[in-house]
Amino acid sequence: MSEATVRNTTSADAKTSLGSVGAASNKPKPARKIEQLSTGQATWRRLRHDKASMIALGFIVFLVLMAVFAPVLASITGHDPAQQYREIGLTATGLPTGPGKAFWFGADQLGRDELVRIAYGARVSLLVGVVASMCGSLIAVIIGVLAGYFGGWVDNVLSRITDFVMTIPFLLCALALVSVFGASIRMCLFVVIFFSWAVTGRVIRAQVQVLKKKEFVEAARSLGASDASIIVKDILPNLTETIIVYTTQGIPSCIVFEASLSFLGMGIVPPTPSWGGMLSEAAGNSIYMVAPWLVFFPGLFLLMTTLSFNILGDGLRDALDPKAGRRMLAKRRRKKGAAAVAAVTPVAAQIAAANDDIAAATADSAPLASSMTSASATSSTSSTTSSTTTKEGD
Amino acid sequence: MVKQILRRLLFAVIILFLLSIFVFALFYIAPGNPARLIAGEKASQEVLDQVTRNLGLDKPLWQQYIRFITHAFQGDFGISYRNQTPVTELILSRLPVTFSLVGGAVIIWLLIGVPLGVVSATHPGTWKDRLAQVLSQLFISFPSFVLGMFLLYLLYYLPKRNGFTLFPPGGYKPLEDGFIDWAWHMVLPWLTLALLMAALYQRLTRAEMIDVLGEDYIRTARAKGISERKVIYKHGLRSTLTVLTTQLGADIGSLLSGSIIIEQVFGLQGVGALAVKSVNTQDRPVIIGVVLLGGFFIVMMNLLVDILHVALEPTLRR
Amino acid sequence: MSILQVHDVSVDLPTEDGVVHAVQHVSFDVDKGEVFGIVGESGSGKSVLTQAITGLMPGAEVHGTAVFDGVDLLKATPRQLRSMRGNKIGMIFQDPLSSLHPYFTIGSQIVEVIRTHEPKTSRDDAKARAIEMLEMVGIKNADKRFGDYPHQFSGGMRQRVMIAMALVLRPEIIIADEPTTALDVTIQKQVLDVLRDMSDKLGTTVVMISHDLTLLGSFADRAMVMYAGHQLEMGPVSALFSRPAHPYTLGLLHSSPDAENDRKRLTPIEGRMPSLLDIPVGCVFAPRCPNATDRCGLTAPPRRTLSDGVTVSCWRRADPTPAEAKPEIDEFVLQRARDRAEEQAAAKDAAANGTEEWPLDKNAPIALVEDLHLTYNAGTRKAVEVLKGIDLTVNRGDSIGLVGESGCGKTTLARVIAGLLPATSGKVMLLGQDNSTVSRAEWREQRRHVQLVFQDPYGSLNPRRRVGSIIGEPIRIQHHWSGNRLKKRVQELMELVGLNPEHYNRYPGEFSGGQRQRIGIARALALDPELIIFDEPVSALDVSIQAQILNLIQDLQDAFGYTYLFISHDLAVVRHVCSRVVVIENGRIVERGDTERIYDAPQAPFTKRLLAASIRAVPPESQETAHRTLVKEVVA
Repeated sequence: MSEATVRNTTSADAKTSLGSVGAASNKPKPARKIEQLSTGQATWRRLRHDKASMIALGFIVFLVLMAVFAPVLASITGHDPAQQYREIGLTATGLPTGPGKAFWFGADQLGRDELVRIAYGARVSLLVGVVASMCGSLIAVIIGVLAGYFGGWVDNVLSRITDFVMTIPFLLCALALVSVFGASIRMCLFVVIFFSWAVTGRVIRAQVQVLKKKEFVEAARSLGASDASIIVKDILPNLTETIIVYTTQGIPSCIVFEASLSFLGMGIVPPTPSWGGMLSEAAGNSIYMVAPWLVFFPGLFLLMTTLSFNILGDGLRDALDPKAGRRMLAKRRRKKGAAAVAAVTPVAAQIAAANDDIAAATADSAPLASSMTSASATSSTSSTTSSTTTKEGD
Repeated sequence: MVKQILRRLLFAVIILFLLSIFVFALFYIAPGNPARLIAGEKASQEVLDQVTRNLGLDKPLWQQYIRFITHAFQGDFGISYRNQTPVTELILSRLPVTFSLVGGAVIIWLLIGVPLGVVSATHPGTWKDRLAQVLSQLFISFPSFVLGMFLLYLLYYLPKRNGFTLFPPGGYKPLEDGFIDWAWHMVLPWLTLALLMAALYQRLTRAEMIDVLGEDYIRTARAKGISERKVIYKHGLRSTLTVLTTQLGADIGSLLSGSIIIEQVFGLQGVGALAVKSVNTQDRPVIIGVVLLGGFFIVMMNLLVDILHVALEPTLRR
Repeated sequence: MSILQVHDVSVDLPTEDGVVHAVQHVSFDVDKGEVFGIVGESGSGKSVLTQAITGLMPGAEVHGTAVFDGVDLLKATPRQLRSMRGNKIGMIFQDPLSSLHPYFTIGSQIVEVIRTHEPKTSRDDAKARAIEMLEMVGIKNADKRFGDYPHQFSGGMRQRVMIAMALVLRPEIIIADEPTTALDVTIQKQVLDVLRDMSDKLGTTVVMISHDLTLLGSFADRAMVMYAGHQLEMGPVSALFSRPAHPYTLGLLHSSPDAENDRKRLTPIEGRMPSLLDIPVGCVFAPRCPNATDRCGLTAPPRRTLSDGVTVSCWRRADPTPAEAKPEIDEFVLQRARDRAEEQAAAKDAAANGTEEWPLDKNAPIALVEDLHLTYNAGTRKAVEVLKGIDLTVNRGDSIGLVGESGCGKTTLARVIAGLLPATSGKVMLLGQDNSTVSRAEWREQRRHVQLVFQDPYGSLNPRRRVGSIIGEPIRIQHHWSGNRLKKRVQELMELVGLNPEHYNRYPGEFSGGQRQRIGIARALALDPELIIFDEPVSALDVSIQAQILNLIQDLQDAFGYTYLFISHDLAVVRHVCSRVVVIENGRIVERGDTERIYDAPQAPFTKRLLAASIRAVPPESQETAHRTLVKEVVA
């Protein structure tokens, strides 16, 4: 230190000699700056570029409008959803009329207007799907965070409960519950929520455990921050991506769950229209064989809804955490540099993310293996892939 | 290692117990009188009382439960309210159908899904991959009954209308009566189930493989000069087995109870169909039996998977 | 006779952000039987170069020629390359745990190499050869361990297995990519010895890649220095050390803690490596070069060959001059901070008035540890005693280094002193208070006086919080400041550690590793603590950045009089920062004393071993180097 000459420079000089923050190139190039922020705007911008997600979003918006304006639709066509129009709805032989001027989507075996019923059915599906998914996520977050953060007996108890719920054969039990308490929209919601929070809860718990071990949590504690403060400021913000993606992808599985229940006669009961119920009626007596529109329209709408939410969920995950794609990139660049790596990225992000959370869910130390619902493969932002000797710039 | 297995076995038993209490308690709160169902609407009060006493419904709940559990251990799950046959017999008669459905579908979806996943993972971004991704996305989103009905329409009804029978509309022919017949009847149900699940496994395999192929030991394998094929299958796929078996175990476990929908669509008289019927008729012993069976399968499959993991992952052994 | 001739090789990698020019115009020859080193920091392209040449990067665009054994590797078919890998070209990688397949036995993995290239070998023959190789690299009971899995070996053993696997077919050349970086210092030496031994016995040529120039100094015959994909200097190692021809090499030597045997101030290389997405105009090192002229930034330098075998890409004809060692903290900022500290102290005295908020005796030791024991999972079957009776006194103004290998308990000790971990038995006094009897409120109070700086610049900052919030958090929690007052203080802290205070609202992801460590230091300084504990703060940073941070840490102590506890596994680093050193082995202090005394005359056997493994023999200057002349100059 004795030989260090002390220069009387201004702060600005000292700073510039240390290099600029942000863009790593010598000459500042804003276009090249790697966007690391996950603010709402950045996410939206990335999402906008994903064509598939935009189409999916478009359909969802259309569906929502259809549901909201279902009564308007009813008044336009002049048909009430529950009203049976036997004269114009059924042909002379008693078969339903096909799509045409009177009934745009055709009529069902009781002469009801398919189009209007589908619009009202959209209400049920969206309501149950969104509400159930959000409630399920809320429960999952509470349980996952408490179990993952506090560990010990809290974790033991909560994990055993989660395991138990995951072991219950859900469709069978749903049937049993509905048979005892009767089918209604409230019951339907309850059942769907009851059986859907467990998987997300597991994933969140795993992520919280990883986060808890990170040094910044230890740093926060060494500053004297309270547990509540750490959970709210350090843990929850790092969970938002997982929560958003899981909630979005939970919607289609909740919708399908409800539709399945209704299909079995255990969910929404007629005369309230629901897509599952409509399909069930179509399947009864195989009437759809002669009136394929009875299966085509509800089936198509169900499929499109599920597909759209799934695509949107995937797209959201990529938009929220491009780092997953970039991490993939860096790994591959270092080790393989596979061809057309650039084209792979949106997909690579999905993969890395899907893989992350599968690892998270199965790395769990609970005794029983995790079971996932059919709309699985969603995201987590947890694991770092950098080795302990990662140097900067690599 | 043995200790771990025993612990898990213990947990499994406890969970089954809890499940049985859960289901049993459920029916305590239920409205409706099973005695009335059996005795009939017009039965007199004495008959009703007699039936109630026969069924043991006049005793306190916990006593009923004890009686139930002790009988259950001997394999006796009671008598169906509806048709007076032992529940165990009823269930056993339906199992072959459900097993056929799930067993056949498993083989098909593994044969489709996993290889497609490997192809996708080894050719990421190419048209093969994109096509597979699109198809997977589509089939994952298909609700099972919608797919089933679509397939029925396309592969049964349309050919039928044009004069020939491509596939039967459902129903089940036992294996003893002939393999071809049995398989032919199962093709559509198998397809429905398998297409959905294959999509899931394609995605899963792809995700796992891509990650595994980025691992250091794959680079080492390549540095040793091993053929690319061996690198992918021997070194790569091997590492994905843990995750795949976990998923498979969970899926088989839940499918054995969740195949209800497919059974309904195709008119298969399996365990699921039994469950639906008994729910509609408030046939409590059957419902309890089926639910417990479903839980049992899930627990057993998970246990098997855990054991398998120890065999697959040397790091778990002592 | 040269066995590998690489001529004008460039490697481009297509990525989402553009084409990364990982390697540009590199040429070198490797002679048969020699040890050739490639040195560079992260991003220099050293690994990409060797992997691209051997065909392990199928997506890369590679230009140039690389002739090995008469075959141009860059034009060979994948099949040809595959038959060479493992057979004629052996490779070892950095992390042996992740580089060996976890699900196959090590024996089967070695046998696999044999049978891939010599398929006619019987299983028994292959097994015998594998066992023989394992014994050669020093694995005892090789026949029993043949059936073991990688996770059943320690790190050093695993690397030996990798060496055995790479050499079992007696390849002509072996490429070792940072083989010892992930290992403990004493193990590093063992593995290098094995490598050297095998190479001598089997006559194998070794190409060794490392970020550690001094390691190559003792191990390699010739070396090539790479920076940002470019080749800057190459030649005999003795020449590189005694008379570096390129300013970057000189800068590396001056900023590496090892090379400086006395406690001079390190001279970091200012600035950061440029992005590999751009092809530089002029010399790639020019922006950071203390000897740069205008010409350097405009035209690419020629490649000069000198008479002692050194080639260098530089415009300078004379030897490079070292950069000046600047203070890390700007004088102006320093003065302001001192003024503020005085004001605050005065205000506190005026307000205190007898009611002491903290019973601080200015002469008492900061921390006092007596017979400290700590056992994890105490009382269960998995109990592990990590600290086995530690006695330590930390006085005000000390800077004590805690040195030991991984798992020795130094990190645990630091955390117990800080009050973050409870001891199982023994006494720990922190600032006059017994850690085991503090109340909750007192513990929170303690936090103001003890702070930590962590190792991982990427994991120690919450990626979702803005930098200003991260640095200001301690002040917010403890003093409940807010608004402008808080902001000003945070910005002052940022200036103090050399960050631009206008970047107050940015997220950690936008900063480099070195800058993130500065953020971590700023956070630690926020409360003006008495004691700062540094937990391996520079281990994850590149050498030139390390030097910057180490200087910063020293300057801060000089300016403000903090007491430091500095944990490191690296003896060389500790030597620069600490006045006293405590050596820990297996939970016990085996030696302690003044830094100079320990380095000059270590007493404990463990210390001696540690020192022997860390100090590297620097080759002396040869006559040819002393009198070298320019032989050839090739314009870029």
